[in-house]
Amino acid sequence: MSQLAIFSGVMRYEYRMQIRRRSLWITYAVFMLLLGAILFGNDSSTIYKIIVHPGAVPLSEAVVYWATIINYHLPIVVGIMIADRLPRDRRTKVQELLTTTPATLSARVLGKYLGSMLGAISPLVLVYIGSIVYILYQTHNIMAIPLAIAAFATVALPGLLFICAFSLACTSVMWVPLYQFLFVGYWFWGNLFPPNRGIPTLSNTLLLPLGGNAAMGFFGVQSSNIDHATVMQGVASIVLLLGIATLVMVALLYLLKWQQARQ
Amino acid sequence: MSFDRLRYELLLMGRRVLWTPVLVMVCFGLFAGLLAYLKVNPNRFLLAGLEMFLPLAAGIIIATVVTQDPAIELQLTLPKLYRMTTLRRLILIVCWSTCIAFASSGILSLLNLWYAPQQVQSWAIVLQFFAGQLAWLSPLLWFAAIGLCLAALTHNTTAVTTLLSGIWLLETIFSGYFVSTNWLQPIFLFPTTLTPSIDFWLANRIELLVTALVFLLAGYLLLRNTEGLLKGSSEE
Repeated sequence: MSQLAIFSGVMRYEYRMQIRRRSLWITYAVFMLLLGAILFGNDSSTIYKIIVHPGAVPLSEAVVYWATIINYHLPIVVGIMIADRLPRDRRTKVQELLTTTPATLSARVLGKYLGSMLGAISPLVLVYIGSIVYILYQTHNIMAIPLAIAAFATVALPGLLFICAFSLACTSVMWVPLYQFLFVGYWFWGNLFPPNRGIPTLSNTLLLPLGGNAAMGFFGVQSSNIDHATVMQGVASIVLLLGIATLVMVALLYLLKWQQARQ
Repeated sequence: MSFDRLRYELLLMGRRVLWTPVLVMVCFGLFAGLLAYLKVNPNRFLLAGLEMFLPLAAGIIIATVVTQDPAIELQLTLPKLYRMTTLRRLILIVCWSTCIAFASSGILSLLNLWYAPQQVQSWAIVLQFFAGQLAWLSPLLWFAAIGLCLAALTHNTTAVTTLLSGIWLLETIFSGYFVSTNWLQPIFLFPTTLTPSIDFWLANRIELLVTALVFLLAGYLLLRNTEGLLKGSSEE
């Protein structure tokens, strides 16, 4: 069996395991309820006007706002859902069993990474699709579809790949609840904490998984603490996030190989 | 007997449970040192460690301890009720976190780094100090109680951790909305750090303690569902 077939098999299986988790749907539902209560509870806010009346603002703004909304709080669910995947293999004692199969470690880990990530972001994508359908219904502008794909690929996806790589890798050396706690703290400090308050933060740098650089650079929409970014800065932010995610995955593979050799 | 039991419970829960709150406060202390070096006043940052981060850590630990007992099947066969064991573990974690928080706030007061809420600033120093402890005590008990309640309801560590994190994040980001909306004021968790000038600080702290007691009672009652506990232990 080729490693590509093994990789796709692992990916499919991880995806199914993730979307069948009751906790995934419960947490997304509660998150959306809480977020909805807050967003729709204040009808005088700018964001309420953009969400409810997308036709009143430029199409790119309405679409990018939704790409940002799903990327604002929901990655917390994604990061926490991915965090227990590798420790689970150890807990259920299947790790030793898997090492006896012809599958290479890289095929298994990459399959796990992409499969569990795709599963964890599925509800998020459904919310996004729903919002785009609403924008289409309100604006009757078919351009919303290619814009939505571009906004998701540039604003949301690089950040999601970035945090998923860390969530998978960090828990191979860290206690899962501790990582989950640190991840929440990081998400607030590194994404949502306003700059110029004295405390150094990553929220106005290229290392922003929230997608503010891409939103500003490519679409001219301010959706985070980034109030100015060029196209090049948008590209640099995406390359940086994806590059770091790749490095983290390579480091994870080396770490797992080293752990296996020590057994 | 009871002392031995407590000691065993601590050993069973492991060092990680004991060291996490300590680690949180030490990290905040070190980062505050960096802020002081950068000429930034670290008072509010240190208070954030006590009011915002320590309670979240305690809530996540409680959710983990309640939902992940490797000997749950055995526990449920014992004459000692499992819900009493869970409650004992919860009390241990809360007491330990309280000790760490109280010691930290004492050190902050001694170093003149304590940040008293505006509503109690006119009080005598001693009263101000003790009332100021409600800054971290109320959210700590609230997170512990809701952590227990959600864990007993969902039987799932990941779900509880995510929900606690979501509540924490929404309360932090939409703090202004919580302050300006009447029905949300009693469940606003972090006014001391985020909006210290509010005039309902004391009422908010007491309301949080009351809701924490209600959640605690609900969580205790939900733990009677032993079948759910068994199902949850094998689901993830």
